[in-house]
Amino acid sequence: MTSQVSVLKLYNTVVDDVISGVRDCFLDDGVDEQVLQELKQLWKTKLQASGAMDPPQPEPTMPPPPVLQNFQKANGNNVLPKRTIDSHMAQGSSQQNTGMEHGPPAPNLAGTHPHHVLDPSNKVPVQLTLPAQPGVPGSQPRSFTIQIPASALNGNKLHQVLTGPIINATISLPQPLAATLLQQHINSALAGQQNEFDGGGGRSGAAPFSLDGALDSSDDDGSNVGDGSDDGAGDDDEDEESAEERAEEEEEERDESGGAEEEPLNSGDDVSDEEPGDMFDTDNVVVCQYDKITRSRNKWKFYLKDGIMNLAGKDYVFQKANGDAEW
Amino acid sequence: MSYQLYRNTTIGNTLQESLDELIQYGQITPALAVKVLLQFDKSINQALSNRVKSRLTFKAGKLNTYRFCDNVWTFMLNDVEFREVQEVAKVDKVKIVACDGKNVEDRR
Repeated sequence: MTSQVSVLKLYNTVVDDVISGVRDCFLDDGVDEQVLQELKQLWKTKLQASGAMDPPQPEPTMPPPPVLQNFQKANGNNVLPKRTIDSHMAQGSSQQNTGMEHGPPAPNLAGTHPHHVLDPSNKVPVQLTLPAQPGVPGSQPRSFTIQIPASALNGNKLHQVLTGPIINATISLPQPLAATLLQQHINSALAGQQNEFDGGGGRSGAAPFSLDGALDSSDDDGSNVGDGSDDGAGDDDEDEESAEERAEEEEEERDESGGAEEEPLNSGDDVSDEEPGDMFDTDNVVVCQYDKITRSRNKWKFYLKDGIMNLAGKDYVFQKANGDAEW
Repeated sequence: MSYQLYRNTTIGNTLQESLDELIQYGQITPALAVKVLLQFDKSINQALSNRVKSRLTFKAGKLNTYRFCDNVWTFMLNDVEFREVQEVAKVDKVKIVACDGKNVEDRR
């Protein structure tokens, strides 16, 4: 495609042309020449920083995931997420795992793992299980471990973060990808919403179905955050609910399902048309003029001119571009 | 005189950001910024029609959406391959916004 060098040259021409074209306007307004030079400098710097004129990379480089920074900021110190489970974590991990999946009230945890609660910046490994994909033969529930800050164990933060859409987005991905995506999602969500959560407002983003999936028979603890079946999305705020009610509901759940039944679909299960990857796509945009657009039946032809394209973050220009497509 | 649609490009957006900063610091007035943008419209339209010589072709797997409104065509294309001689760029989807190229003289 048109080499970035010529785009750069074109842009420099335009910058110079604009700056010299408005010099009189600046004078008329009594604005110092210095400001005009500053405008030119700002503009050129921003153009450079956009990377749109950089020579194409041999292979697209992924930007480093911003999650680590978020973490550091959110926790106010430099603890990095641990990638491995360290010993004392591991020994308590089974309890923690089940704990996280079901989102027990915080006091539970405080009792069993005071250490983590005292140091909210600690990372705790949590095992998640993605349910088998409905309608995909041979699909298995998959488990993986992610790291979350211990502070997120207080309240149901994880459940507020792991909402239906993100689960749906990850469910069809290969396991390593899914784990990475979930980890990043959790990291950024927790970092961004730390304060909000601490404020304790009831949120309706509760996980619409159980994270531990159909084949997990565990019914080990008190909370029923996953049971979206009868009370829908709001059910994170169940802290006010009496223990009795909770027990009843749990019983119902066990009776009706035996752990294997799918919950009814609700809006939280919506799958958008977009592929998960598209969420991070750059917008590819062509801005141009048309000489002619023709259509016969479903076949379209485009005769375009004077265009500026931004494809995958790089700029290209054209005098003419002809193309076709079927609708 | 000149189309304003090129303001929504890398070079146009960076100019607008720069102007915004200068306005915020009180160094220029919004009215002066508007004059700069009008000059930009003129310069970029001229530069594109006079200085750019590249010709390319493209082929889209699918025209997903089209819209014609106020003489502006907007297309969403999927699986597009842009080709200039032997160089190729492929994208999953692209949005094309196109003003009427025959009409330039009549524009305000």
